Amino acid sequence: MKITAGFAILATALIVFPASAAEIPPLDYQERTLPNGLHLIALEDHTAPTAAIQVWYRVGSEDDPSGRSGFAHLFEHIMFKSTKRMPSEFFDRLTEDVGGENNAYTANDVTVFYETVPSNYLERLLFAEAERLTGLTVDVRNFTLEREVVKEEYRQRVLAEPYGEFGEFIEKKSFTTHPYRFPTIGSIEALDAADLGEVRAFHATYYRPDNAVLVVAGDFDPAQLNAWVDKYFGPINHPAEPIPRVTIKEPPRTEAHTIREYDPKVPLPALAVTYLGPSVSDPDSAPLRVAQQALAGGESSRLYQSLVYRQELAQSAEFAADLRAGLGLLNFQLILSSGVTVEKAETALLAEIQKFVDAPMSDAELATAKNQLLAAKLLDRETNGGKAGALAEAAAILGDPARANSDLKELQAVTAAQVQAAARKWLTDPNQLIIEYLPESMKPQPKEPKEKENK
Amino acid sequence: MSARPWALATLPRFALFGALLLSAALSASAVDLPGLPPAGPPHHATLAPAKEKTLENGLRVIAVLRTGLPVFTADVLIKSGAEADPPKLAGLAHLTADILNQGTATRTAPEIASAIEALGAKLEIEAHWDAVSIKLIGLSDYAPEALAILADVIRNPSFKIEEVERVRRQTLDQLRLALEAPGTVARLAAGRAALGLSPYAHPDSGTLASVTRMTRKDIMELHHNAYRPGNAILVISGPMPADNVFAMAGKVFGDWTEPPPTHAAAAPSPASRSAGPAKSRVLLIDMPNAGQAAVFLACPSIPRTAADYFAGKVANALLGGGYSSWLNQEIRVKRGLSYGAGSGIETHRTTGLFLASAQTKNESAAEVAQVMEAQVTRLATETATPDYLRSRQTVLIGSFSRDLETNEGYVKRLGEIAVYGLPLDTMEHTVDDIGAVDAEALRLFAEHHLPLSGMSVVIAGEAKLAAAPLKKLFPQLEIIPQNALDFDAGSLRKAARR
Repeated sequence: MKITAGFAILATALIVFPASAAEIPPLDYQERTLPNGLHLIALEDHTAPTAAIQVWYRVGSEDDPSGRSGFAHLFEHIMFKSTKRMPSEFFDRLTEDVGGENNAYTANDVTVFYETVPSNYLERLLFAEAERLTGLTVDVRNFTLEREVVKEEYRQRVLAEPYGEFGEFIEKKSFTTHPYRFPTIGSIEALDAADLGEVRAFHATYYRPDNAVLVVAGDFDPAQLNAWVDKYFGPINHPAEPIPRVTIKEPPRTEAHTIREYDPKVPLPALAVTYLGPSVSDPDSAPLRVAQQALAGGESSRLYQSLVYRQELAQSAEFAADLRAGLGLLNFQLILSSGVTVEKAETALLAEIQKFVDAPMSDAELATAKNQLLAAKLLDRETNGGKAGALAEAAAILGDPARANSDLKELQAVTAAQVQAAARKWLTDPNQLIIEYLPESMKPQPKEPKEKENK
Repeated sequence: MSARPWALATLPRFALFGALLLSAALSASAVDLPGLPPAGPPHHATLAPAKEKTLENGLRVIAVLRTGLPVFTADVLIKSGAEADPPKLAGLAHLTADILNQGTATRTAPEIASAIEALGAKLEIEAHWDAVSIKLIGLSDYAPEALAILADVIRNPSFKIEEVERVRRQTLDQLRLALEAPGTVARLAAGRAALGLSPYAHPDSGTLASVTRMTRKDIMELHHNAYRPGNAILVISGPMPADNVFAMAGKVFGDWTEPPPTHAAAAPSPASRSAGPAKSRVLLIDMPNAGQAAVFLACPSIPRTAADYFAGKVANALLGGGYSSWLNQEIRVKRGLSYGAGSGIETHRTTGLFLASAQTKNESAAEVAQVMEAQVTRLATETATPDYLRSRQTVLIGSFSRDLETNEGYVKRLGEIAVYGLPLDTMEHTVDDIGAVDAEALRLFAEHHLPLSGMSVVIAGEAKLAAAPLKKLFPQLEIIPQNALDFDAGSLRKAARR
């Protein structure tokens, strides 16, 4: 991967060729599927005396029961409560108390539980993960207390953060039909409505071996790991019923639309421009990740250079190609600088988007984006947890752990023409939603209608 | 944005408070259950050794060789941080650091960003209390090119007036935003309440007034006096052997010379300024739009080089370090009052700051403060069970060991040791030093450094909902409206207008 040949400093511009992904050692994993459907992926690596365990369930906030927005995430919290053989918070005894760590998170499509422990404790974690997959015995008191915790989490993330409700508002307005329109954290009312019976039903429906990916990465003997997995997970049956899946389709957008909203908590106006995007498994996924990097990754990125640095219209300018299993959201977000009108910032942002659609990115931009994406992937692979996460993500979301390796090569092969083609396809006028999010103090006194049409 | 684009809205089970494996040098925990398999024999990790060399100009270079992935981390630490901010110029170290990469004698700001990022690297500049960190994380094949740019931004920043003004405007906007979050407001007020006018008490990012006040001359003078090889340390971890690292450092920093200081001391030293206040306070900062209250307990604490440093770390681990610490158990797990409660001790060059914190609905701020105080009292009055003590020591050892999984972790640990002039082999006994803390050491630490009588209580939240129960609990409660708050003042109150 030496680049000395062809590496030159010309005046002030540095020309760099993308590093070659071919020399990144692939993750050399083993996989098998148990008769009950559990997908096991194992990566033996003795660099550090630790083992990382991750269990990814294909259930997320898109599967929240009707009227129970936030339920999948509340359920994730309940998974740390008692089972037939384990008292509540026993995972902390098995991880934190022996120098390890554990946590979990809920996303739109998946719920993820993960631990890293000194490797001599690995068998105990397999016992414990199998135990909570078998069933929960949480009582009303513990359920109610944890629900209060989640309500505080909602207040901390959404109500105590000046722009917390802005993020929720974007989700609610960007999707009209698909359950992605319900924020993962839910609402106080929906959380209050949930009960223990629904917890049991949710576990029975989604927490089953054929809906899970188990990844172990680190310091273990593969034969022993296989025996342990058979011993603890093998006896768990999967129900005969099929796993319910979201089949609702988000209809394509047909015309550009602008929404204006006011919030007393925000000190400065914010602006979002969103477009519906493809599923994460679409071929446009890699070009759009390169686009994300080029538009908003770092201080050399287009949006930073233009909107934050040169024009000083925004104090932050972000773009996420937030591609999910069902469909994606291409999401531009600005928090404006003092004294800048939302109209002026909007004009400038839309001009940058148009520029990106109209002409291919330069070779230098492409090389930078690829090197940044490559470095990020490599840094992830410093730890057993990072390696386990890469494999689990590929298996649970893209359907094949091999994608963790092929993805790197695919990213390195993306061309400027492919990025432009993806931008042309998705960043279109009819697919555009603009959200102007303003301080309450800017509300005109004779109230105007809350939503106004544009164009 | 998120590294996993499709997991933008991910919600972790709990937020981590600061840091949370050589092997578990302490014996296995005593938990048991029917069916729970036994732990196996421990496997031990090895510590990558650090080599060091001081260049002729006084720059100290520390190198760690970690083979494996083609990535590295390099951190230049300037041993003067926010503690050296002049009294009227809170945030000077921060603003100076933020402008470093906004143009040098030969590169503009966009050129610096493009050059660094083209190499697959990122540059992270941050002013801490006792040091400014200029850190590069990148692909090791490009290390020489990236280090040359790193050296340029440290040695030759141009501080062009238009860049100074631009970064000032940006900083002011960021402050306006930060000061709407109850967690930030309470944290800043807690520092002032506990440390009074000490050099570690002001908002380290500055205040709207101080950032407006500072001039290009202030910035250039700080750079001239503090950014010099004899006041700097370079720590590098990656797949490059130490000799290569020393050669690379020599190439880009070898001709960095020490100019005569403009006036006074070479590196600004704050030692002459007054220390903390004598009296603890109970404050409620009224933020009418706060959707939640932030509750802090704070008191002065120990410096990094104190003999009872590890006793302090373990005491804190019992009280508020990690998920199963007393604070989180009592506030989150048993009462459902918060998403997370915890504590930490910030240990500085000449003093320290103990902080316990949690966010809760406005109505329960008083209850949270009360539970926090009860837990602090427990430390002095109750002997922890040997199992609990051992598990909390293991939490610290685990956190240390996990840092050694990454280049960044090594650089963080070694850099901290070096900034405070501690021997590098501190790394080798960290595990033993943690394990050696006993119940008596904890009791003494609690008695001397965590007295309830010296603890200030600071809440930022909506007074309409939070004040009444707080008044009942703390008759001495002072209420300061958000718009009357002045972080530059020891009293935290704006002077009355004439």
